[in-house]
Amino acid sequence: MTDVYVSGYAVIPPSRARADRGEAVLTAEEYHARALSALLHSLGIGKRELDGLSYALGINRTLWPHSLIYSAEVAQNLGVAPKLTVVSDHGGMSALSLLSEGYAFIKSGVVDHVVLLGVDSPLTPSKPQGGYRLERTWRYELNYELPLGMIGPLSEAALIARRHMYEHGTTPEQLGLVAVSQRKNASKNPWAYLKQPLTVDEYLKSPYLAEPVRILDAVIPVNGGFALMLSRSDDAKRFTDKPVRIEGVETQVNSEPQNELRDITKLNIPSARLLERVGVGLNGIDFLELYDDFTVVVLMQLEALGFASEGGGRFVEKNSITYDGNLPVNTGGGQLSGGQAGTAGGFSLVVEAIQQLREEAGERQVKGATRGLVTGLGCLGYNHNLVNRGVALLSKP
Amino acid sequence: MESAGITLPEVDGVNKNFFEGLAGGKLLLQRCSTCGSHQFYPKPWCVVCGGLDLKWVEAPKEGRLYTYTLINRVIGNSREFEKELPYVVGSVELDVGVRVYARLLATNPSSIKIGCRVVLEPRKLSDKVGLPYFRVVE
Repeated sequence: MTDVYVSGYAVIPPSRARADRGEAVLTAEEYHARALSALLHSLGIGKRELDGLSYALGINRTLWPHSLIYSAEVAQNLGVAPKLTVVSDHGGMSALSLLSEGYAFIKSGVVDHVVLLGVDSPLTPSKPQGGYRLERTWRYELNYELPLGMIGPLSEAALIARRHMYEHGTTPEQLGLVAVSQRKNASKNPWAYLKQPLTVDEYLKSPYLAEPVRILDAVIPVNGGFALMLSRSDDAKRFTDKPVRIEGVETQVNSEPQNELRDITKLNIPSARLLERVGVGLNGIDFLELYDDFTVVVLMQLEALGFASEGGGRFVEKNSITYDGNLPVNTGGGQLSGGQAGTAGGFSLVVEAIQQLREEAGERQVKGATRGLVTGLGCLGYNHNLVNRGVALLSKP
Repeated sequence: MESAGITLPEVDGVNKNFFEGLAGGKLLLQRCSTCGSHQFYPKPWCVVCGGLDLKWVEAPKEGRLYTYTLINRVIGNSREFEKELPYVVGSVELDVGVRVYARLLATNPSSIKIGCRVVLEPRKLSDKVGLPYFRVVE
């Protein structure tokens, strides 16, 4: 069976749609077009050559309402005719889910290539945002959370963070170290949204939204777009001399449904079965791109992956997780500083790993990096944490 | 209804007894007749064994606080809740093996701690709908 490579990628820089600051104000449709255009440019081909390939198209369901039959509308908007399409409804795991499906399509010989477009434009809606959020959320949130006055992901994450503090002795300063380290990484990333330096003191002065979650514990929402091209091994070389190998992807939806007294601070990422299958140990991983909707979720993943048996908080105190540290994490700033483009936010972490492995990360380049681990997490469950969990290993060939 | 303006649950065949029970001062949970598991939130079958025969049983009125948050700002929910800011929402663990999210009431907010004892004190919105509120035992 063929190996699967990332043969090209594109980033459309994030925007808060502040026209008064000269920022781009674009719809999801426009991000689709720009991301695909930039991807084709990276591959060195035009649209007519794409039309001649055997390929699948994968897209995320955007936060903003879209049609029930969505992928065919996107294909018509773009004037493309993929052999098949796949749409992810996995929220923060969308990028990993699409990567997993694209990998399987190519492995099984269904297509030669897969184009993945991850875009979202939550700040450029055509009607006020609050209304549609309530219309489109989970029934369990509508019925058992919102009538109590909960405020969505912020309050769900706060329940997890409070319990994490209780279980592991996690301190506000330790959560702040995650935000501060990622900001340092973002300061070297041209397309990160927040680049100005941040200190732990400034973090501690930032206001609570749902205590213990502060505004700087949460992602900054942005509009943005990303694109990836996956290709069979022999085809990837056509497009680039720096292909990145997808060693494997694992996903899992939900865990411990039979135990309602589960520990919500434990995030069982299916990393162990991926590492075992690929035959790689933790010491074979040079950097981590960990899904970071909230600071505490980064700590939970360091614990789950096996890097921080003493607790994620103590780990970040004793180690450096910046791009030049002993365990680089979220080397482009992650979503906390880079910005979260709705349900496409996880693409920023995949693209950052690809830039690192192509040695295109400039000042934030992790020296000697040959393998990175990327996660994608989605769907804050009831009495649970993030129930969609994906993990991928990417490497230099 | 005093509830005008807050976000209301969508009552349906699966969850009707839960909201009605709270309106009558009781916390009702689903219990599987086949394997005996309790579950929350209400679901159309038993998530442990797949049994379809679920009975509604009254839960103990007292539980312990598993985790909580102090809501400081209303974002992505009805602005009606701004009148109540700040307020505490938490996850109450019951000894039948389930947890229920609830609003927490306390005369002295500093008495709200993980592990503290809480007692059911539902908020009645109508004859058909009550919400899970608990009071901290001080």
